[in-house]
Amino acid sequence: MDALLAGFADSLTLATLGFVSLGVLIGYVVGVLPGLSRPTALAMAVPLTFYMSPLAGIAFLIGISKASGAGGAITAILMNVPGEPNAAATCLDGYPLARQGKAHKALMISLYGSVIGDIFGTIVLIIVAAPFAKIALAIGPVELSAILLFALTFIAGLSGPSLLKGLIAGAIGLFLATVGLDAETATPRLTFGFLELSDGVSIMAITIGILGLSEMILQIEDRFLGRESQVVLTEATDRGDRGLTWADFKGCLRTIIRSCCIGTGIGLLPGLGATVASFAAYAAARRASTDPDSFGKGNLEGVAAAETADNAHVPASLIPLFALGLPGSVGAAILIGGFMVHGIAPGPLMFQRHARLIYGIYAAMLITSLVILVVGRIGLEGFALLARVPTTIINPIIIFLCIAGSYMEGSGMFGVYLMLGIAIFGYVLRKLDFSFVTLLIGFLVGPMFELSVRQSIIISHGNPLMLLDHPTALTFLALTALATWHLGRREVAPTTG
Amino acid sequence: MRQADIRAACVLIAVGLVTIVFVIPRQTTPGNTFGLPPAFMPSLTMAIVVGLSVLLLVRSLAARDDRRPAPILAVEWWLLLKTGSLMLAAVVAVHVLGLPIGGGLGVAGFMVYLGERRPLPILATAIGSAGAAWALFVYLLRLSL
Repeated sequence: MDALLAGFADSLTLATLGFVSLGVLIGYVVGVLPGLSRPTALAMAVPLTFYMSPLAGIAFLIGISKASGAGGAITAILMNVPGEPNAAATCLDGYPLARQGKAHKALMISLYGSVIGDIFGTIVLIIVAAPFAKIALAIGPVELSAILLFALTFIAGLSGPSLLKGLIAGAIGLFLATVGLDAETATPRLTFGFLELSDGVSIMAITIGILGLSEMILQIEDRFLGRESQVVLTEATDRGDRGLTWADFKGCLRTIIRSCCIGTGIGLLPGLGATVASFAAYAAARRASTDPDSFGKGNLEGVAAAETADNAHVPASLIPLFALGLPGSVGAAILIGGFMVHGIAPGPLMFQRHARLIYGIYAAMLITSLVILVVGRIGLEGFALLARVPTTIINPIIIFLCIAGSYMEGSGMFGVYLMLGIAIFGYVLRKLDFSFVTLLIGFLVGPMFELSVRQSIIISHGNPLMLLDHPTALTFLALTALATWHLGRREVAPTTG
Repeated sequence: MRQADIRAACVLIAVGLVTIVFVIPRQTTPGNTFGLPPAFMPSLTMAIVVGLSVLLLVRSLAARDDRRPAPILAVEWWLLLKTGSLMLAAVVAVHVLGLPIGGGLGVAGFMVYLGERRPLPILATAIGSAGAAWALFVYLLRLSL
């Protein structure tokens, strides 16, 4: 109890509060700028924490990590460009809402969803971090492979009109993820002699190309072909449509609660990223809705689902890190650097050796959520002003941001040319109804999927009967088969006029 | 859409087979004596693409013509060529002149392309974008552009 009180008192010092606020501000900026992703910002910020106390340093990094998730929604809603890859699902309904003049409503629900998800995830972290160690140990490569397969099939079936095309897109995504150095032999694979491809196809080139630039191509096409009489984001004339009403919030509450659970649940599983969480929550919200056809056309629940799950995932992904020393996400992996700078090894022993620090971090995480709410609430008005800028100005700026974002990612001009090629590929995919969402997810989970499949084959010596020893994996494989049957039924009927 | 699906499936099958037979063996090493070869996952995923594309082809051939227009019209291909070329020009400008200047020129070029003719918004947006890029990337983050 002494450690608990001391930890909470430490987090309320001026220095810690200041660094939390600074982290949140930086996180928002990082989230808003496409290309400057959470891991990049965290990696750049870790050396700075050397000059801070351990608590202030970790709180600063967590502030960046949490706020970038909330900030990513702003460009996703206003520009259809995910400031963070995790905000990709937010684009699906956020941007259509903005085009209907309901940008402010979408921004508000994304902020509240983010904060609620964040607080929920943090509370779960506080409650289960220590006991979770035993459960998480049971998740081996076989289980992880089955879970990822299920997630991909589920998303392929729900994110587009055709399960078959969705699965093809997912497989293409998995294939693209194999480019780069082979993890086992460290030899180049499908790099065609380009040194820039040694680390694989750039994540930002894929996300910005497929989601950002290809959307710009589509918008420009619509403009020239006169399909959009009014492409300027304007405010709705109906007063109730401009801001978030209590009825709107109440209508989304069930979705928010469900997404909190999905985001936290996926965050608990090491390796499944926030992007999977947000898309899974989005798919679940669509499935549970009485009007699933309105999803993708501007449904407030879609925004709430994606943002809540995304932000619930961030603190939840720290559970494996705190409990076992295993990073549950890229951001958590970089946080290890923040701990190591101060000579602290994350893991079960941390609860005994640095209990005061742990409780201080818990308190700082809760404070961060409140700071995100305040900064987001104040800054939202400023960001919402972007809605009044005409597309003749905003589209060139977005194209410029796409170029700058993919340049920033690290592979220089190579990444920009790659992003341009991927954008044109993404345009064709979208036109032909291949689910670009599944391609993106396949690409993001690809390295993890490959590693777990290879480990599973090696430990089982290629004998499929070993699955009988893994009931959790069997359950997920059965769910995958069920999802394929259920979602694929509509494929059987020939297309009619 | 049926015709487009047939064409897309044929392209995917052809690309997939070429990748499995020619590209992957040339772009991967044999690997160690233990474990799985580096070509394992690329071959597996591409085989899945080919298999599913065959299913798509069969399904599309069996389906009745849906009479919907082609998903990408000739005029849209032409617009894609124009917009893509301008994007490429903007990227080349960034490559040659650096992000601030090249990006500023790219912004101005796209504004004119989209129909903006007022010089003040064009200049202000282009210079503002270039200035913001310089301030963030060069001044704050100390990156060489």
